[in-house]
Amino acid sequence: MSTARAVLDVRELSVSYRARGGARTAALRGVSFELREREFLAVVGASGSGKSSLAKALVGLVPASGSVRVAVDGELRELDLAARRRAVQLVFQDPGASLDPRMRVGAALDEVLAAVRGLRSRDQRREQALERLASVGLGPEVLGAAPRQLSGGQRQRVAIARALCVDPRVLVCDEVLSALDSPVQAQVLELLARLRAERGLAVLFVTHDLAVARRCADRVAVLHEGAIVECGPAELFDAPRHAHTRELWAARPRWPAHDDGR
Amino acid sequence: MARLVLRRLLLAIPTLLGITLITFALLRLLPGDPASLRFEGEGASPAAVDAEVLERFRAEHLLDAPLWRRYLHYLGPFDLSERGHASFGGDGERPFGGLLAGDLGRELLRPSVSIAEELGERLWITVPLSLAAALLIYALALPLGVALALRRGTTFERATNALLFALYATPTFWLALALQATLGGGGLGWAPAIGLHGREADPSNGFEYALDALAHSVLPIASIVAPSLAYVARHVRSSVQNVLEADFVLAARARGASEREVIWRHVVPNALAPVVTLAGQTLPWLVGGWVVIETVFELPGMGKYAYDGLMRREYDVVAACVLLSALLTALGHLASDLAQAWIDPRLRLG
Repeated sequence: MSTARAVLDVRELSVSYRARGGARTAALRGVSFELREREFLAVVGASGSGKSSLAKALVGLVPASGSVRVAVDGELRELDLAARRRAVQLVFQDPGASLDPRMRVGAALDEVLAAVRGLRSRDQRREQALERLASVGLGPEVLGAAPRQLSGGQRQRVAIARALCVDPRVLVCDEVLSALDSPVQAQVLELLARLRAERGLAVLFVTHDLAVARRCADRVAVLHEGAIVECGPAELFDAPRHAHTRELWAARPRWPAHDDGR
Repeated sequence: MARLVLRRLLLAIPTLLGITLITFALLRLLPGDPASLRFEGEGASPAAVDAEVLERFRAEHLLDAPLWRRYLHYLGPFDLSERGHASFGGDGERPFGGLLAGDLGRELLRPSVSIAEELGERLWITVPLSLAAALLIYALALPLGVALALRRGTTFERATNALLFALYATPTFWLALALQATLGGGGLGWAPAIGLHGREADPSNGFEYALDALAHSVLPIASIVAPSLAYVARHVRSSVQNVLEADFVLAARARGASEREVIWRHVVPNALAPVVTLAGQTLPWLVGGWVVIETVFELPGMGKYAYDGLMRREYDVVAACVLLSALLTALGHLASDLAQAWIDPRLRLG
């Protein structure tokens, strides 16, 4: 993996929010990392470490400074926001909230294919929608369903399928497992692994679940108070160098199903 | 859906019954007596009125009967007066009457006037005014509310908010009087401020007659629209603001949807559902508002009728107006529930 080329290159990314009274609090302080082709990079950290700000900043949902470059024809380039959003797609934590409750699945996918991809032909859009649904393991029967009628796992699959409709290079997953129960979590993780293999997607996986990061990620980045304190292969948890990483790893919940990290 | 409608209609029955009882009781608590108003109002001193005439009038209208009997007489379907159903001590000349017999009664002071007919005529004024007002309220409040939500934190938002808040807090009668005094005949004279038609209006000239009525409606409609507009616009604003913070809106932006697509495809349709609930209640609100506004502008509509009825102790007139607005309220709520079910897929799509 280490020889693979970078698909996303982030330099000195900073995000700060204006608190009441005008003072600014920094959520992200000059974060730099790269994401390689087909890589599964887990960003871990405690609540308030800046994980969500990082995910949102990558797709321009919060104002940020620094550079975010995306590989285009083998060359890293700073793209305008619209183009960056086509290359980098965000999947939200709660699919119940990230899917428009008024839109049936078919309409939600169709909207993306028509508006973002600009596909004129109805048949072509339908065909592509079905293809994306199939690649997340859903059949044509969900096209007519409203988000409410689907299970949590199905909804998250729909949300991923919707992101795939854009044909992104990178999928940023912001705590996508938190709203799901554990068997469904495992299915979604499997799905992400398959999408990497089949579609050549790179996954930036933001999570507070260190066991998942240890088990599934190629590399992990540990975020602490808005900065990456440690970054390396997932095995770094076996011998953490930074005190905060040790703390996080020691504080992870240890249920038998999860405790396969050591 | 049919079951929902049926259940709501059945539930409306006890509600309306309760309203007739409460209105009846409250009206009888008012001081004053229709009999003396009827005969003293004409300038005669009490002594000059024949005691026997007064007595006949009271008996005929059950003014001295026990309250329960008067209520049952009012409710129907049996007429309990001395000319009423034989089983209740009447002479059987007019066995049936009251609400349940579909009879709203006649005015006490003008016995030739049927309340139902008079009300029907006056609704031809109040209903069109209300529909025009409701249309205007929503036509203005929806874009205004959306604009306020989108321009949060700007000077436009702050200024408009302050104005809306002031309008909302302004008592209707004050606003009506203020408009009348400033823009009406006594002030700038921009719009006629009294009555529905000018003195020279000619009913035979249909178009100009209608235009005249329209001109006379401008200030009354403005008076009733302003406070409701403020209320609805603020409601729309908060509804849009709530939806703006939803993840699916962020998700749409993150997919690269244009801001216009985000607003019109995702935000506004989702923000509309709570506003629709409000719409069903608009008509009954307006009916309440007309009591004041029609009185100020001397429009011969239902609101003025209710006010005059109250002043003259025309119990049945007031009761009929209250009942009608209660009915409108019940229907309005039913309509907004149905609209809500239609617009909100969580209810419609299961």
